Amino acid sequence: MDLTERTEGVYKNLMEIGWFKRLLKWRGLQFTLQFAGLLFFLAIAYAGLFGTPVGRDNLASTFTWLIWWTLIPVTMLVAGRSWCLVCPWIAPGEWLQRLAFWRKGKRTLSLNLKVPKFLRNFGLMLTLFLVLHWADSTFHLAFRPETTVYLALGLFAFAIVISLVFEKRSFCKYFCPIGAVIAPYSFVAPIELRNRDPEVCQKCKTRDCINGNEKGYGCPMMIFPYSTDRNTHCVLCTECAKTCPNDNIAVNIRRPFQDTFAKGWGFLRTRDVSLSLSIIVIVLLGVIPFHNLEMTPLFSGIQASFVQSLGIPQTIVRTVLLLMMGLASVGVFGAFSWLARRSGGDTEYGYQRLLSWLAVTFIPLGMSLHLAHNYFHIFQEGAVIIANLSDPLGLGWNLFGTAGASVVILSSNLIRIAQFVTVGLGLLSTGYCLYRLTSNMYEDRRKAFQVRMPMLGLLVGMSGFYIWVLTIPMTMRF
Amino acid sequence: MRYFVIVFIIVLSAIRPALAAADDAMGHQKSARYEVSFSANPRFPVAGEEATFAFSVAGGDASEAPQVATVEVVKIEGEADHAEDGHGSEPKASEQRAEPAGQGGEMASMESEGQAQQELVQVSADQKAPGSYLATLTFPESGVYHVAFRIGEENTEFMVGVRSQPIAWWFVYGLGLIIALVAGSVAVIKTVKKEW
Repeated sequence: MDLTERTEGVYKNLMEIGWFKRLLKWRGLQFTLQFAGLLFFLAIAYAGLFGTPVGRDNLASTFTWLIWWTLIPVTMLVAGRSWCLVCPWIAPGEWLQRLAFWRKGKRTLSLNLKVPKFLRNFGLMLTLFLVLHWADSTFHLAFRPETTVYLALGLFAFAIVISLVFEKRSFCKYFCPIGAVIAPYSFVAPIELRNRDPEVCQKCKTRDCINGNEKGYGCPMMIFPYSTDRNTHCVLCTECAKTCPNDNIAVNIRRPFQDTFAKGWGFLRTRDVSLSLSIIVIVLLGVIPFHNLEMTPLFSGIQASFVQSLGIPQTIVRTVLLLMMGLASVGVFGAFSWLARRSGGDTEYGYQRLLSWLAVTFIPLGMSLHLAHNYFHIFQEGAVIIANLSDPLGLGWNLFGTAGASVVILSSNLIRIAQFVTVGLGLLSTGYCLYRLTSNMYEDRRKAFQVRMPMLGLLVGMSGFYIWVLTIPMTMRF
Repeated sequence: MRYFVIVFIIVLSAIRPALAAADDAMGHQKSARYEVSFSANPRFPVAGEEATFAFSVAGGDASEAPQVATVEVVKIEGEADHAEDGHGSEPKASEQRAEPAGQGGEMASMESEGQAQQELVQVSADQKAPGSYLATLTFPESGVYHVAFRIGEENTEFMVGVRSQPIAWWFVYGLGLIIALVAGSVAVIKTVKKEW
């Protein structure tokens, strides 16, 4: 086992900065962030329930669907699963489970059951994410502040019940619908929480990072910092930094995309990169352009023609098209992976492993479309938030003098250019990840080249498709 | 805590004038002769339930003769058009339209898909401009409605959001009850098993 390999691509350990280290070791850190998040959520819920039912005039709708929903991928691009550190959904469940807010409690109000084995993957997360996406586009949640709040409250209750029944943060690891996006996107983040020196961990007898001690809890995500080499499950709660008796936890600024190709403990064992995680990535590659298409007149026309010619309800047409897009994505990606394996004559890894690893290299491309799609939401529609802040409930207030303000943050042309540049960067990043992955996998450069080529063909084709999708004028929601 | 109180006082003092300036009116519009304030009770009408609109007219000449006041309501956004074209960004008039109300307590009817429904709009009697005008309306669907108030030759326009249903407290309380039941059950199990 090559222990030195794990520091590859690391630029700076932030734990070397005194105040940052003290901040991360402070027990009140997560509670403070979650409490602030919870207060904000309650304010949003109040606006949704008691404010105007007009979506664009109510902060519950505009903040949730324009700001939060669109900025989530940005937070992952910048700081991995940092959202999970702040997330108010899990906070009440976790406090109830620990019977403590920030101090280390000794008792627990949870049955602490293990999640059944058949659920210990990303399958349920993917399903719940697709249901959420489907509900958003079918019931137009963005227009309905109250429904948005009911959905959020439902998730709250779900998180609490799961926390009371199952151990630690089982909800975040196996049930959170947002986790289906967060887990793969965190691969590209230029930040990671890892052990500083693997040898220290290897010699450690107490394993407080997983067992917990008087300074903190064992890892709530049930991962072992000693062997963690992907961001997949790390929610940056920093409990391990608090409990480690050897001060061996590092928060590294690192090379972006590292997790998609780096060698490490999990490399080519497909432990962190399970097939279910790869399937999420592949489905997202199809669902993200579908989501963009849904907001175009072209889609409305296609949908209407199906409704008319087949005589079936629009909701069923939309649902079938969504499922078909996801399945088509899996089929196309599966076919190209098979082609890649055949052309390279791979006999070392097998089809499933190869597909799993090739899939994660496409995360930057999928993420680039996700971000590009959001530009119109955030830079054109998003301006409505400026007016909403002065009148969050739509009651005619003008708290900051911006009520009724009409602002254009970026022109359509500039947004379009930014979209194309972003997808272009996504293409280059995935190309780079593919190159690094295949080079790491195969010592024979010719073999690596032969495996790479079909996937590069797919990459170019998908990028062209994404660019085409972005050229269709999108209908604004607000 | 001390800093929190200081920040709270600063924020409150900053927004207090704005809150104080806000009144029950949902909008103020000016026409050539009049200034009209619009309010609704309930503030956000619920589909299928009666709502009262009040138009307070200021300006003009207090001694002038009674004017013909009418209210026209047109649906511009809501479930129907979202269902039709996906995200419904194109505002369009729906079928609901309140016919011009007559003077002095006459009733007007709202039409839906060509069928006259029950009489819905009423403008109170012996009104003069300026003065207060009341209209009672029942919206058949949730959505965003455009309310045009005409008095004499003057025209003012307002927007009103109509809820699909009242706040579903049963849902909120239901969730709370489920959580309490699960937490209680877990507590009982842990007490019996002595596994706290």
